[in-house]
Amino acid sequence: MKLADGLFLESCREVATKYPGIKYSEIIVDNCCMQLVSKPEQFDVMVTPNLYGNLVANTAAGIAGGTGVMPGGNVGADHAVFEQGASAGNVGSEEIVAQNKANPVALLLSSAMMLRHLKFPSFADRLEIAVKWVISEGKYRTKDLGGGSTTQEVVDSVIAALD
Amino acid sequence: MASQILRRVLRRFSSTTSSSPFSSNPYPHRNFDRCLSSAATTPITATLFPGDGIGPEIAESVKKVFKAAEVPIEWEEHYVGKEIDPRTQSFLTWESLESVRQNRVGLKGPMATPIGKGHRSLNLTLRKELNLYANVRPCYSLPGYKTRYDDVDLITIRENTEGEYSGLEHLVVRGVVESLKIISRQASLRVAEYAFHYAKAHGRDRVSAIHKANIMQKTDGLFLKCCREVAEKYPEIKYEEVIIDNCCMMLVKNPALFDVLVMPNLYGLTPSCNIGEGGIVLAEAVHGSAPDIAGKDMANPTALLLSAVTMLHHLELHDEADRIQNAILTTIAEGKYRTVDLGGTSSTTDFTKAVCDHL
Repeated sequence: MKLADGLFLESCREVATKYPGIKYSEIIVDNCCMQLVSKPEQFDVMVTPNLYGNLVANTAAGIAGGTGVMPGGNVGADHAVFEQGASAGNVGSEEIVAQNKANPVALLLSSAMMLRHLKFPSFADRLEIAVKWVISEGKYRTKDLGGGSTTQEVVDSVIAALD
Repeated sequence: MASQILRRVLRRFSSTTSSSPFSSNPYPHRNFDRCLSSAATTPITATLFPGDGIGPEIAESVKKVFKAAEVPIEWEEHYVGKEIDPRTQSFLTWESLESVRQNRVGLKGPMATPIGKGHRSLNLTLRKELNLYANVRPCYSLPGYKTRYDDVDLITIRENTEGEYSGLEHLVVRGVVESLKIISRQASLRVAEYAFHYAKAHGRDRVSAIHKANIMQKTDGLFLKCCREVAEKYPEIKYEEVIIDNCCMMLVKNPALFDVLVMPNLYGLTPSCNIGEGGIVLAEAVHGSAPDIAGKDMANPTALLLSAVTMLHHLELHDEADRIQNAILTTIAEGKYRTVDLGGTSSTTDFTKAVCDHL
């Protein structure tokens, strides 16, 4: 898509020249998907137009652990709204809600992002460290991460870990 | 993993009698040859586009392996020109296109499409001019080569002529560009028919339509409607619809869940989990031209070789196809000769020789 994506690339290049300290490269989305699945560690920050971003984000989420753990944010000039990074197109149903198995990690990490945006880095750090500690400890994990805990149990352990 | 090869071979034998337009044999005189040995009467001419970058090296590999296996194919090589041919509006000459039209079969290596320039992409030119409406890519785990996933055995069938790749873009005003996504009933029905027929002919039991109709209600909605219509004609095949976001996620988490995937053009970029992919009629290697390793004898010819195998199946040269495929899989499974991308140190030539030895 020469004109459309061509324009996107031109814009990226223009901005890249203003940050000579940061490496800039371009990758065709087909190749990118393939690289993501085989060697995701080669990527650092990825900027994409709308549709590709959706696909890339969902793929990356799948690699990193699923929709239950990936945080995200929507940032504009005047406002910012934070939410789960990848929803995989579904929000669940009544039965799933009643089972209390939803993973709160994604939204907790998204709120940490929000705290950082609001310039409260110490609160953000505390929250993130607590969440990461709970996950790595492995005792309280929801079903999507291979455990059997309920949402509430995970939240309680995060609160306990805050100190 | 050997069970996978066995399964695939069994499927093929169970589907030898299918009478539909897609399996109509363009080479009727070959029907008898298949039952006997692979000694053919007249060689088939096929067009070969080695492509650029690593293309010529891996095309050499294919030629060597085919020669060693005594495959009755004569190659008509065509290269991409240095100037734009006004008759085709691209670097592909009219003669090249005519060659494929006449031979009806071709094998294509990777072709670099320069980014951002105004002319038509080479791949797009081929697809449009030859009306290759379905892009078929089988993805399966190669036995003996451990990757993140085992037991992958899925096919992606992607509509090849329209959608986001219609090539219709225009400048609205400086700084704003518009790109049109076209979905038509005819193209959607055609690719859906192909997908279901393929599933039936190859003994697959599920077809999943990939879409984003929740956002693009009219375009992907039309695509889905067509898929549903075709699904009704094949009640023995399970049909489901999956949103592309979910599909990407499931593909990386558990690709074994998928069987046959049918989708409009752009979504075909859903990540492929493995090496070993091919196309149909104009069998092509799905990868790029890798200009950084061109000429260094490092490229992995497997993708192009396996595409060539698909081409052989299409030409009903099943014996040769199976022999070559087994040789390739054995070579990779053995692990002695692997190219750099598979974690080995062999050169293209060494790998090719190993495959020939295994024939």
